[in-house]
Parts: sequence; structure tokens; C-alpha cells
Amino acid sequence: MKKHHSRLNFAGKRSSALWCFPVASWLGIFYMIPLVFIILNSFRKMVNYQIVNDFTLDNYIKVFTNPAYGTAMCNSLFLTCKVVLITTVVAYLLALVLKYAVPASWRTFFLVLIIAPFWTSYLIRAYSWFIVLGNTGVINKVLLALGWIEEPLKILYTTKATTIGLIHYLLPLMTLNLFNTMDSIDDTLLEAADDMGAGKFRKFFYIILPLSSGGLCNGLMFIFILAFADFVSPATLGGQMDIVFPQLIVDAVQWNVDWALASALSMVMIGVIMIFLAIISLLRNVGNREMGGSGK
Amino acid sequence: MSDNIDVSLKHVSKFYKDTVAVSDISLDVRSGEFISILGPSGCGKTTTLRMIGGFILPDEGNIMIAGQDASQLPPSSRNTNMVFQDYALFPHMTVAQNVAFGLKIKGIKKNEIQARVQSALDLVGLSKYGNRKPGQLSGGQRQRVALARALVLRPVVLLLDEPLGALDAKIRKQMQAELKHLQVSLGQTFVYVTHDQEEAMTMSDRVAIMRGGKLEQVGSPEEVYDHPASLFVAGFLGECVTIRGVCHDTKGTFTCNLGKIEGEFSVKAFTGDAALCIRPEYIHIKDSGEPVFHGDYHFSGIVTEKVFKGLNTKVTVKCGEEFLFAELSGKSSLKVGDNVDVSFMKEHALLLPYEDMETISVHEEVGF
Repeated sequence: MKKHHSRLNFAGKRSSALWCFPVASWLGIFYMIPLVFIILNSFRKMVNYQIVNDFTLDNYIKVFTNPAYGTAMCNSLFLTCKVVLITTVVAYLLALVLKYAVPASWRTFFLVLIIAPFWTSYLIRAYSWFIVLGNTGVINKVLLALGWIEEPLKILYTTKATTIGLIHYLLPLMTLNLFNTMDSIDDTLLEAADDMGAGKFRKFFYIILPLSSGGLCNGLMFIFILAFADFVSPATLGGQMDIVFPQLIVDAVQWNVDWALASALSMVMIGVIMIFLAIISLLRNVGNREMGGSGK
Repeated sequence: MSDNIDVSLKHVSKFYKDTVAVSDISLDVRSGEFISILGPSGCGKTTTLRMIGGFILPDEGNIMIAGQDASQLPPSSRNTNMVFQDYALFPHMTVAQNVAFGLKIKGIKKNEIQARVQSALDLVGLSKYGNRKPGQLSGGQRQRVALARALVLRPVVLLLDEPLGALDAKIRKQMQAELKHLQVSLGQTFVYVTHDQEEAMTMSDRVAIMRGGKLEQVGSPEEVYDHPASLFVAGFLGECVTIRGVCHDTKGTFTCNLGKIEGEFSVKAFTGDAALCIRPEYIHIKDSGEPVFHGDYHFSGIVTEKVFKGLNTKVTVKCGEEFLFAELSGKSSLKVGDNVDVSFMKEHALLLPYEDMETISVHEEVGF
């Protein structure tokens, strides 16, 4: 794959630095400065619901020694991995169908359908699943009426419901990411593979998968962060049965008013996300080198 | 060249909605032969090739490959391989992996794959490039990889879809020679699609000329050049001087602005609207002062244009209402305004049914 290293050159280096100013100041004011506060707060003490300027490691000690936090982290990681895996597989299927089965003239229509959920707030989307998954919800009513089950299935307020809600939330993102890269794969490559005797599965694993790995990595980063940091689905659909890590931050802020602890918990979450991003970008670099790129 | 038929098209047609892309084509490709399908863009030549490869299935007719009906088989089940116009090399695989791909799919043993890949790369002169990625190769080298990748599978017939179209003129000429050499030394059957008549003429054993989805004429380059079946073929294969007139009888008597001329029927006798067609290399032009040696017919005229093309000089002469031109080798001492004698032989004056060239170009737009 050819890479175009085009650099916008606005009359020399000095003025190009000027062009960075809006972005840099935006990130500085709305991201870097708050982040510095969180980092600082995570090393401070809470006295009478007030943050005090005394250095301490207590917050981190609490996070790493209290088994409740460990359990929540495990719950979160397990849920996230499950959601990311299922979402990726389903998104690949959707993107493949969209690219290779749906006629080009219908593609925009289906793309709009995929994007449509974004027009509603995520909270409302989560609650809308109550109508489907609840004890008197659509699924249970249908199954009961068919006589396939004798009492309503317990889906709502379990991790199953959380998983469904999260997948529904993340699927469009992953699908669009995958479809975009897949759309740029030259059709004659697949014809060539076909010509050399490759069937559907081999075409996917030898051609489509490696050539869409860029979109896959981007999508994985997106949905991992969103799934890992989400507390809406677990809190509503999951009924807080398996406590997830972000929920503990919410609790620390809302119920315990422990800003310092919340900051430490946030730092741990950021750390986990950083590790994941590092793994993905490492994989992507290897992939890029495989593609004949520079690995950048 | 044997008499075995590798590919046989029998009354093959393909329709797209209202347009006819390919209409009732019958063509036999002999074993070991280099056959070119030639025609202007939109004539259905690529559709025909893709139907042989299985990328497009015919709506009517049969396609036999190596004696078996393959009309409805997918490309993966056909013993044909294609060299694509833009090479279609897998960008994420090395040259060697690209060439090995088909063998791997076929489940051939690793050491055999290695040996065959190596000899295929040797064949196209890229034995040292096995570890490169296609992105690191030049256009000509990519073309060779594509060739090696198709040849390594030992197909019954190799299909080539304007494979040299993306190369610049110099490499193109060189690749033409290499392709032809390779084809002869391997005895491999080639079906080659191109819109470049010179390319088709220099490489092919036979040329199939298509127009508007129909097969216009099939024959050796000499046959189709010297005896075109239609004015379209005559014009497509090279320049020709065309004089419009009427053919009175089946003996070849033709009347036009220049008077009565006896010509040769190019393919078959007819009467009615006709065009007399003479290749410019058969037309002789002499200064009217010089004695005339050549030709059954002589006309006097005035030089109206002279274009020096290096190897040749194209001289246009106005005789009465008609403009005749000739390709004179080297430089010419004739000047614009000179009175000259134009002459040609009866045997070089081909009689063809008249066609409006404008309708021909409209036909070209039909289908794709």
C-alpha cells in the first residue's frame, strides 16, 4: 500500500507552528490541564470532604489492596474483552455483507441505517432495551406465547443485558471503521484470488483481513476505550449486578465525595487503556511493515 | 502449433439491461496460439475475455475450456489464469508470496512450491526480487510478477487484459518482445486483449477484431491487414486512403469522382455503395516531369500537404475532388503546390461495402 507523506507547508516552519496553535490550545485547556489536576489530586488527601494539599500514596494503596477494586477491574476487563470480540466479529460480517452482497445503489441506505442509532442518546438507547429484554419484554412474550419457555428468561439486570447494550452501542462504530477500509480494497485483488482458486474463507483470511487491519486496529482502539470506560449499560441494563470499574469512580465521586480516590481510580483506568493502545499500535506497526510500509 | 482447441466460444452473448455487450460470438482458440482480441474501447473485448476467465457468466451460448463445458463455472474452478490490467498484485505479500499464492491454495507441498516459484521468477528475470513487496517494484517489474503468478499455475490458457496498458512506450515495446518470446518458448496459449492494433499485429498469430459486441473478422495479421472484411477493420488496423463510389457489378467495376476503376473485392463480391480502399504504402507519387513506372491507374494532382514523420513522409495530393495520400520512405523533395502523378495497382485497390464512419463511431459507444 502506498503511503503519501504529504506535509502541508505554509511558507516555512515558523508559521506552520502557528497553525498548530488552535489545536494545541484546545487540547491544553480542555484535556492536559484537567489531566494534570487529576494526577495531582490522586496523590492528595481528603479531609472533611475537602481535598487537602498533602502528598500521600494512600489512594493508590487502597486501589491495589482492596479486593473489591481488583474484582471490579476483572469484571470490567472480562466484559470489555467479550464485548470487543463479539462486536468485531459481528461488525466484520456486517461490513462484508455491506461491501460484497448489498448492491452499490442500496449501500447508502444501509449505511444510514447503521448510523441511525447515533441520532438517539445512548442513555435512551440503553433504556429502550428494557422493552425488549424485560420480564414482560418482547423476547419473553414471544417465547412464552410460543410455549418454548415456561417462565420468563432472566436477561435484564444481568451481565447478558449489559453485553447486549454495549454491543448495540459499539457495533455501528466498528462496522463503519471496517467498511471504510474494506471499501478501499481493490476489487481486482479478490478477482485475482478467485482466479487462483481461493474460496470465500481464504479470500477473507488471506486478502480482506490483512488489508483491512488498519481499520480493525482503529476500531479496536475506539471500542475498547468506550466499552471499558462505560458505566451506563452496567448501571441500567446490568442492574449493577457485576460491578465494573468505572462504576467505582462514579461511586467515589457521587456517594463518598472522595475526589482523591476517584482520581487514583481514573489514573489506573488510563494506565490500562494506555497498555491496550500500546499493544494495538505495536500490532499495527508489525502489520504496516508486512504491508511494505515504513511501520509508522 | 497443434490443431487442439483450448478454448471454444459457441454463440456466446452477454446483455446488460438494454445494451448488448457481446453478441453471438463464436471463436476457437488453438493450442499454443497467441490470439489477440482487438477493438476500440467498448467493443466487448474485455467482456469476452472475462467470460473466458469466468468473472462474467454468459447469458447465451457455451464456453468450452480444454474440451469441457465451463460456461457457468466460477473462476476458481477453471483452468485459466488472468493477468490483470493493473496487475492486481497483493500489496501485503512479497513477490514470492504473490507467486506462491495459487500453489498454496491448491495445497501443493512446500518444497515444490518453492521450486516452482523460483523457476517462475527466473523465467521473468526476477529471481532476486522474491523478498520485495510489489510497492517497491517498477511498473514493468510488477507486470512480470503478475505474469509469473499466472504462469506458475500452468493454466490451459493465459488471459491477458491489456497488460501493457499502464507502461510507458519504451518498456512497452520491450515487454511485447519478451511476452512473445515467452509465449513461443513455453508453447503457452495466450488470449490477449488490447485496443492497440500495432501491439496486436506484432505479437499475435491471429487477430480477432471486435466492434459493437460482434466479432468482425478473425485471421492472421497479414490476412486482416491485406483483406479486411469491412471498412471498419481496414481503418482500425492502419491508415488507408478511402474513396467513396458505387460498385456496379460483381467483377469489381467501381465508379467514383476519379472515374472508372477496376478493383479487387477484399473478401466477397457485392454491388451498391462502395469504398475503394488503398493502403498508403501502395500509393506512388512522382513529380509529373518524371517518367512513370508504376501502377494500373494514374491520376494527376497537386500536393496539398507534406508531413515529415522521421522514417516516412506523408504526402497528401488533391486529385479532382479526392484527397489521396502516400507514405514515402525517408525524406521527399516534393513541395506543397507541386504537380504530381499518383498511381496504384489494381490488386492493391480493395473494394469494400461503404459504411458511414460516423455511424461506426456511434456503434463503439454501445455496450462496454
